[in-house]
Amino acid sequence: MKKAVSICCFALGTALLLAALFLVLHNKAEDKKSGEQAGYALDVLKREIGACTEPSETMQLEEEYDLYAQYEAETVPEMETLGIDETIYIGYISIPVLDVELPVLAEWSYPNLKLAPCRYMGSLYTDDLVICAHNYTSHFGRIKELHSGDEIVFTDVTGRQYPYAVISIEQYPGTDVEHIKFGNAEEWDLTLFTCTLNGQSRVTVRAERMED
Amino acid sequence: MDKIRKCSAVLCVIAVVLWFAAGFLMHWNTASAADAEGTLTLWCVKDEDIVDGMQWRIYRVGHRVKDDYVFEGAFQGYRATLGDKTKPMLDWDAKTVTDAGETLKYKTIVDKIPSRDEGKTDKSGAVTFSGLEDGLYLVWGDWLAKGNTVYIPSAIFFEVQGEDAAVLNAYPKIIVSTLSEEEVNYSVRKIWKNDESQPWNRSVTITVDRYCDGVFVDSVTLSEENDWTFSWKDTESHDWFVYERIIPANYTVAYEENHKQYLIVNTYEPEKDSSSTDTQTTQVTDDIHTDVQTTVATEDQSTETNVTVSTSTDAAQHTTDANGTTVRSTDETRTTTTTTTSTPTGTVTEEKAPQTGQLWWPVPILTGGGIVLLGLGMRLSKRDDDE
Repeated sequence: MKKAVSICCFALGTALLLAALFLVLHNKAEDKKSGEQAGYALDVLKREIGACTEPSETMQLEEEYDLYAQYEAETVPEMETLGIDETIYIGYISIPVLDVELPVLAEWSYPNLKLAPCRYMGSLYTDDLVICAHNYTSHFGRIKELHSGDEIVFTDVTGRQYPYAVISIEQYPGTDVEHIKFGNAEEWDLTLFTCTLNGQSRVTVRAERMED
Repeated sequence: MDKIRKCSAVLCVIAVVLWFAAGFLMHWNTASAADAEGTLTLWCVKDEDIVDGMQWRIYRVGHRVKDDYVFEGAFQGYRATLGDKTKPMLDWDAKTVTDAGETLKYKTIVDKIPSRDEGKTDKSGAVTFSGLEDGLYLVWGDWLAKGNTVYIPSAIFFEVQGEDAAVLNAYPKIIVSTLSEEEVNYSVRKIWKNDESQPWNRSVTITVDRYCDGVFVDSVTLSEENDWTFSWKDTESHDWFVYERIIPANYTVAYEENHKQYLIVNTYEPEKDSSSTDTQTTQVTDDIHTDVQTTVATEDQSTETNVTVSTSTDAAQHTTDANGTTVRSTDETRTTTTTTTSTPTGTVTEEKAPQTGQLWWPVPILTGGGIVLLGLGMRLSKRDDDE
């Protein structure tokens, strides 16, 4: 009898360890695949951005005569986008201290999150851009290691760079969306967030824009 | 002895005369300084083009108190709906002052406020207004068409203050435009500012009155449904403007235009005491109707209630309330009251942030469980061997 119980324990324990191992391997594979997809998109994005040109002076002059234009830009800020393989990007984000560089998708969805970080809400032009990403180590898995003053650079699809400095790292429950979106909104200009390992909370990095 | 007494009496009389004379002179000097009257000359010249025959009107708007102005008369109470409420008027930037001037100009037309004085520019392009007491003034001029060319002046504020400002010269901004007989597009758009995080403070709809050449044409309703925009067509020869009939509570209003596009900018600027209930009463009067709308907005409740009372009558009496709003009281014969309540959306949410985590939490549980079971299996196996 004891022998049978002993064999069962061995079998069950081995199964649990194998399941854990499988989960680790699956997560690592998913992480690696997402990293590769993001890397590919980033290469194309950089190449395309390099081919972009600044809007002509004539276009800017025409806009100045439109009385509504100033408020359209203010009330409905639309960031320029670039499509790659039917996926729409708004630019790419660089975190030099973590040696991370990733493209950023224009809209978030669960399929999109598997590809790259996504804009959750806001805009560069209104200094309320919020970017979310999976906690893959190749995505935002290491943003909790950031410290105040660390540099983050967002490059939009026109090639313009927006430098930011980290001002705080906070953790909110996943249900506290209002804080993630708006908490002390006047103090920060960019927010990055991702899940903690247990998936219940969100590591939220706030950054303020530095002078160009 | 008598001589001494007489001398003393004469000296007393002289002293009394001097006393009164000194008092009179002091009073006269003070009164002269206070009642100093200024003169304003407007010079209407565009490049080397002298603009003669342009009609200008002048209005006394208010007077200086410390570093700000207090509006008076027909303008009383209107200060709170203008410009930047957080700063005294002297600290406003040029654009805010210009926008406030245009806004008050519209008010004088819509409310038919009589001007203090008016006049036309002479052959040298000048018009002079004299006898101006200390205070804040608004001057604005009519469009002037000469052939296909139209001269469009901007409204300006100026202040008469003390003897130094007794003679003022001003050069109003004048835009020159060439008219065509073809129809062009006109449009009005509503802009909400400074309330992006509290959009529930906005009115659901607003009523905009359209005026052509200073005459009321009709009212249009702007809302999210029409993207807060209304368009129409007309030739360029008419001077259009738009006027927001009811200014939402806790908002200021400013108008911008380029003579084809008209912007009504409402900026949210709540009073400092945010817990209080703000009530604003505004009215529009024409020859037949008086419409009084009261908007009550309580920030804590984030709920807006609009009460519109329409009264129709011919007999009317004008009064001014504590806020300076002119209200026409009537022998009321017919009153209609409409109440609408809007509750903001988006404040209560069950939204959850995207799940951006991989499935890591089972790993330590599975691993721990596996180790425990293996350990248990080894122990049982060892006991079995021992036995």
